[in-house]
Amino acid sequence: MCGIAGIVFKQEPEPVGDALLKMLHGCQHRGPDSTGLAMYGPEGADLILRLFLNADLCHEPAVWPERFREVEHVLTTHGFTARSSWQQQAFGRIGGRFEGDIQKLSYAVEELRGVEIFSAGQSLEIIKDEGTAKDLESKFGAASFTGFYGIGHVRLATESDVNPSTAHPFWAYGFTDVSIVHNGQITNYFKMRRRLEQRGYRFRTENDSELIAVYLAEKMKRGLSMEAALEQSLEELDGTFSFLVSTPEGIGYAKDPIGAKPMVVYETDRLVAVASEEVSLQQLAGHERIQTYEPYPGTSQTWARSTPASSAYAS
Amino acid sequence: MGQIDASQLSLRELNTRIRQAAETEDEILLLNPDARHNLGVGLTQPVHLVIRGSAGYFCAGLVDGPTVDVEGNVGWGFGDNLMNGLLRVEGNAGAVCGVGMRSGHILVRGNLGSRAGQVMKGGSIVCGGHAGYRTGSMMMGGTIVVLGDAREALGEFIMDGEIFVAGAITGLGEDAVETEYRHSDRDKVRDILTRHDLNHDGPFRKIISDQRALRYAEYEKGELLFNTARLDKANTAASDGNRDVMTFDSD
Repeated sequence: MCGIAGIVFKQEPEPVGDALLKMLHGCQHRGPDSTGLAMYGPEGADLILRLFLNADLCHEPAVWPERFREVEHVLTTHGFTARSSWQQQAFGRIGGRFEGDIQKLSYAVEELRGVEIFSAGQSLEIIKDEGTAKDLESKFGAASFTGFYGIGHVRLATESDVNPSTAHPFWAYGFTDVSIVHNGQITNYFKMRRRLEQRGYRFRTENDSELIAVYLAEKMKRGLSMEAALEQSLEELDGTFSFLVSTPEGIGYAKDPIGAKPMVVYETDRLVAVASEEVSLQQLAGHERIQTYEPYPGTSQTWARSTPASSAYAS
Repeated sequence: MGQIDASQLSLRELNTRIRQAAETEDEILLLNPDARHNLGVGLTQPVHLVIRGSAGYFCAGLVDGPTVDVEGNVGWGFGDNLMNGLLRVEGNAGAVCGVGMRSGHILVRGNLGSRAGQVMKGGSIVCGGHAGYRTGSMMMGGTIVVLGDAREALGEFIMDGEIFVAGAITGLGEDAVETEYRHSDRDKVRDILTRHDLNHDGPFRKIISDQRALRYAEYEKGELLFNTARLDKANTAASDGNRDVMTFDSD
């Protein structure tokens, strides 16, 4: 069991980080192991990389600054011009100009032992760690992130380790600005992963949710709309699932044909919010009564942002 | 009337307060439920609990005798294992509403999520809107009445009981079959709807078990002994007017 949440502000950018943290706090009972956010600010000229140094592989914290310098060196050799940099313990954020192939760049960075890219994009930033939504806020101050939309996740680990790497959201490794949160299990994971690996795509983890991110991003790269990619996922992915995908265009969901995983939608003139449980949506309305609906099994839908964003979060 | 504000209470404190109030009050008003889970679980007093807002998962589960009104929506498992009582929801219900219920009556004025009435054994569920995927899945008894449409796999592996649908049916489940809607059925549906002050004059489609699946020529030894003992006990209790023993039909 895990909990997912997503929100789109229709009219103007709002504190999307704060909204997602409230929603995730409301469903923390669905997953106490780890919490994460994928937030979309205004699209800028810089490519933003969110990085994580795996403590087991990078040995001592004392070496982390050195490892970050190695990352910056690799970035530079691949044509990335760093313009901003932030580091806190094993987590880092580097922003800069880059016109090359993001897939090659990300694969080169991750060939550094223990270095992981949590997200890469012009508007996407993924923040995730072990612990609760409150822990995440106290550590990263994500509530101040302003934007049009984002997705979030609380995880109860069932398939892989508990660590920041296997926390959600998952970035579609090698594709800018695509991320996913997922509640469920993809039972044809290995078959689908092999197909993508045969086409040259890599995976950071053995988590089935990462597969969905790359699977959808690859379809959209080949020209499918988010709507069409989600519809195909209902045919091609087996298992019990509810997931949210987020791209530069907005967010979308797919819900398995047997309705085994919950999802509730709340929509007003101001926002669309989606969550595993109504108790998350209620966090957005205080004690006010809200109208919600549960999407039918075997369906998908997307919501687009309406206007450009005007402000952003900076670490 | 007793009044409880849920906003400052833990779940355990809240349900304890509800049970304590039910000892002395005929009616309890619960404020600020905020879609929290497990509200009113395990109530066995004949109290009227009004939940002013939405409730989360397993609301009014394992209850025997109360009347519960939810003025918003409910999450998954509303009335789970209901033994007896009257449960009503103004909005929508999530999946597995009335799962395993033995008796009593549920009204959902909005839509039903997936698998409503799953393995229910008695009592009734009325849906004022549309019913979701696999409504009446593996039901063993009781009655489901849907005033709107019903989605795919209606009555999947239904073993006993009846489902009445006023609207369109997307598809029947395995071992479910449509049968003639008779005058006696009309009277039965009318009685169930009247209990909730509802009326629907139009025809219904009646779905029952085709009795082809999940049927076995012989009981296993232990199962036969258990069923025989259970039936004897229920028959004896019924003749003595003893309601403490579980009954298997709608009251």
